[in-house]
Amino acid sequence: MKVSVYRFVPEQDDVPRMQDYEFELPQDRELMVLDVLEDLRLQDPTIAYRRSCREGVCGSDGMNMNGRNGLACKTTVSSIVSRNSLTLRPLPGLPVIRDLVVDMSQFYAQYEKIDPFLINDEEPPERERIQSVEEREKLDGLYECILCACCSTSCPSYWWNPDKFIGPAGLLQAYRFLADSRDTATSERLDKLGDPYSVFRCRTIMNCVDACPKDLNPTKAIGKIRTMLIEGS
Amino acid sequence: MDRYMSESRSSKRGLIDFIVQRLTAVIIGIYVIHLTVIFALNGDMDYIAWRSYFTSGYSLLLSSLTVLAIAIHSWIGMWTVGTDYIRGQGVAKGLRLAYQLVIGAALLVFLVWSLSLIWGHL
Repeated sequence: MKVSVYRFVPEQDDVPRMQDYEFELPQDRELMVLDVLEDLRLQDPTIAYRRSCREGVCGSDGMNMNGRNGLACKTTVSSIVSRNSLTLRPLPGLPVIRDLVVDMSQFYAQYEKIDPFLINDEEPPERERIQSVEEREKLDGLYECILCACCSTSCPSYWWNPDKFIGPAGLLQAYRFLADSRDTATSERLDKLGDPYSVFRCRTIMNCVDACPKDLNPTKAIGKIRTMLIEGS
Repeated sequence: MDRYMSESRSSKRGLIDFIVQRLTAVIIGIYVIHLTVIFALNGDMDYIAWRSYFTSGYSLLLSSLTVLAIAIHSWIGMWTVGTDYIRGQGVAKGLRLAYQLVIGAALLVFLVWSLSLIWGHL
């Protein structure tokens, strides 16, 4: 199999280039894309990428594999390889620090904007704020996000306005707190989302749903936020 | 509450644009269906029938409303496209303003021209 890897060191190179490697796939077992990268790094220790847990929990190794965003550690080679070739690029739209490593500052800045923590002004109870089973169920499909940025970096609206559009990942989390029965800042949160960019740049093309390695649905969450905004006005 | 939260913005323009975009789309949709039905039911419409239909009170109102809806709908859509693809400060900002001026002027001409066509034969 031919593996083509995006190589770029901004301090040294004028332009990025693609470097090709030959890789022998084992016949007896399935490999993940991350396994391939780990092996390639033995051949060429200068390839830079992020990784940590290697089981789809930490969200470090989000990258673009044959044109699709995903986590290298939980994407099987057979599911993504095409014509015996695999092309690995960094997540689109974010500044490249080196090779497959991107600068996530802007992504985190958008996450920060939605105040990603529980706000409750009432006197704290002695032990904990109790939720009913139904109230807790509303957070399913929201809290599981690992902030890998696969969704936001597959979104054209986020490419065009990464400084103003919060992006699918941040909006999924915005809804996670809007939907939380223990949070009392609902109207203050909504007040911050009515401008033409934060939420309304979403054109519902659902690239985020397609990209999410955790099978979450940011588009649905954005729809719910829109409904809350309309009902609240 | 605000003391916990990051700096807030309070514009509601995105929400208003979103609602207006959908309302105008409904008006345009109703007009298209309405005209289709009129033409389907009156296949042999001659000039006299045509004229008497398009000069009737409700037709004048509905046509005017639709033309206005198209102008508003287009403005919101084109403004959005412009702010997607022409970004940044300096030259880009000038270009964006010029784009918005051209679109705005074109839509205004379209609106005035269409209204004068609709009302001009009375």
